[in-house]
Amino acid sequence: MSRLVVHVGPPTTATSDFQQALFANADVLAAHSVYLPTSARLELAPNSVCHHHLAWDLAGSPRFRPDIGGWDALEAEIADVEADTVLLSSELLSPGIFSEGIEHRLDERLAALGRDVTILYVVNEQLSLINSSYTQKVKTLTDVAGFAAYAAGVLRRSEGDLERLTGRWQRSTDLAFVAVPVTRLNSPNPLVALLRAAEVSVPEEDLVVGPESATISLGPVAVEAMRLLRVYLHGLNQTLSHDDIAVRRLHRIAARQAKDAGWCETPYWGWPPALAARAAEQFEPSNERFAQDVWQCPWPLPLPVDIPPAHVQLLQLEADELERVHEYIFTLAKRYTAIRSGKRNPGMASPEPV
Amino acid sequence: MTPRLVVHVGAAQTATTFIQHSLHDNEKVLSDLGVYMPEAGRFEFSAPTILHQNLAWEHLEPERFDAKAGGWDALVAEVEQSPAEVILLSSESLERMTHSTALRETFESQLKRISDDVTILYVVRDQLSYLNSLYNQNVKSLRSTQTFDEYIARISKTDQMNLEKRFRPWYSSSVFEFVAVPFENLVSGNVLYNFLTAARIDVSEDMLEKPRTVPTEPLGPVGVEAARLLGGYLRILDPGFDHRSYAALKLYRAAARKARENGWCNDSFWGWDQDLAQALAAREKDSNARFARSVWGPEGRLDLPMHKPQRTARLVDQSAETLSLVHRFVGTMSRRYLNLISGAGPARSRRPGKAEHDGTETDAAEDYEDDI
Repeated sequence: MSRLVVHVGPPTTATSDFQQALFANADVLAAHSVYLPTSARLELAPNSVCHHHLAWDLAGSPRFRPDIGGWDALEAEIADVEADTVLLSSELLSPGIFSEGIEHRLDERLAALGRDVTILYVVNEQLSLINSSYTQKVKTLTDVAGFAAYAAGVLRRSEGDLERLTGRWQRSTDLAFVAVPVTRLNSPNPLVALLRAAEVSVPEEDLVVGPESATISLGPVAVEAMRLLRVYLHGLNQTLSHDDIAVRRLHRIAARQAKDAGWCETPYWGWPPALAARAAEQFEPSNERFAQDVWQCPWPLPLPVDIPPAHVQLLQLEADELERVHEYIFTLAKRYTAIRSGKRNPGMASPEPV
Repeated sequence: MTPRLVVHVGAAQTATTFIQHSLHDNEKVLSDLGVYMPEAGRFEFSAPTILHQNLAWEHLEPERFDAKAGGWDALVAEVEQSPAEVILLSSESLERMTHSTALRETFESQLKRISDDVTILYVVRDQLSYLNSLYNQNVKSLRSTQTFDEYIARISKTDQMNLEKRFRPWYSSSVFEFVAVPFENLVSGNVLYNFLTAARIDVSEDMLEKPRTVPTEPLGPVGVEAARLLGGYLRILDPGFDHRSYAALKLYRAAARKARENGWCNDSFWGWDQDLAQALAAREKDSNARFARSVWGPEGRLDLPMHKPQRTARLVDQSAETLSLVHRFVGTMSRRYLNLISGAGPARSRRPGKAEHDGTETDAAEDYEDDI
């Protein structure tokens, strides 16, 4: 039976780099009997192989577009595909394992495709993962509290526990579970590392390097500026949602402008040392169990509890830097209004000095 | 024989500031009529006014109580030295002393220390107007960034809009005379004269000084949203933002002036939609009816303006020109706030002294703590 490899992320583990590299190597992969379905691909990322509509279809999300297709379309598309491997990628599928009501539907959908299923999962230590997921929420203008409150909530709900995140896949007899330490993604790049881990045989020399990573990691000032932007936009529009098309367009522009402003040059690190130590205490035992069960070795990704926090309060900024933050907010707020009203080039004058 | 004691207990948003300023401006006139307004317990932040907030804070908010301004003990001592026939106190914060049986008993025992002839004067506004006004004030003073519906939902969890429950013990008290003045009656004509008349203080209207101030303007629909936006912005900018800090108090007055200049006070805000109004009306119907009959007689009524159309605004629907004004408003005011907290002034001081007051428009009600 041919294989189905499902790369499920999770988010913030170089997923975009992998998906863009898949797109860039589609012909090479096809030549080596790896098929990348066109159904369910994210329409907003045309140069990427990213099957988010599968996750939205499962969850009944309003973002699912039947014209793009979900599981039914995928099943129909690959029914006659003779490739050795069908490869899917969507980091939004990873919560499917613990989301009530979805987990069994995901199992059923995978089984219905009639192939040997391999779940490909990238493992990162939880401090970095939670730090990244926080900045990702800020970057996408999601309603999120300050880092300490956010991280404390994640700890309280045990959301970073690998048993919760992967336990059912680990123990499944219906599929193979392949876990890749995030550190291995650089050897030599995420595409090669993940294909190798999934035992998808493609000569490395045939693969081209994907585009340079366009992912923007927010720095300390950028995090606060974008949090302020979100509050401001919400004040303008009480029904604001990070899922709105205008917000999704805006957050990309906002992240780029934050980078252009030089606010992303140093990485954000939100963990207060005491909270980091608490997190380590909470995660280390289950991490060890995971490593022994899955890799039969000690846990290879030590939790970086000693990284000093790298965040700012806006009030600590110099006056001219703070002024740039104000201009950033008001410029982007105008842009948001223009996007909502359908104008493409709103004329981005800064507010007049008063 | 003890003097008669008149205690004006609000409510907030019923021209209290205007009355308190006017009382101050007529202190000599009233003194000549045998009315004394004690120094003890006065709140010293506001412009010249008669405002005994410190008496309320002694029991309600000890952290705000200023021992130097004096509390009930100082008041008792001061009154004992006064030959006046009538002692007059005014503080809308004292209304909160009706919020529980224990607080009421404390309040009553303190009043009894001063006089055995006490008039409690309360200006009554229908709950829809009252809450609408209180909400407006909370937003204007940067105290709250809640939507109107959120604010009402919070208040609806309490029974503090229940007039019957709060004032029934005084309907037929042998010690306390309870005088409830409809707000509409108070503001019809000369407010101070109406107030003094209700308090049974005989004065002729032409003896009174002309009013120094006019009641402060509430924000209109766009003003409410712009102030909420500013409040949220400042709280992210400064995680330690405290609406009672000196910087915040100065800022909101500047913001209110700017809002007025921007034309955001020209029309009135009315947050109630029909469903919300009907829910409150249904809840308070019986209590209001009993209260009105008890304090104003068998024909007494406290009607709610049920059919007033909602007047709110969504910023997102405003014109580009208005939004531009909003951006500039938030930008200007946040810069001003930063200057206030970084300047030489007592930016983080929670309790500025009188000398620090900037002399601009004040509103004692703006300092009212509506912990309902």
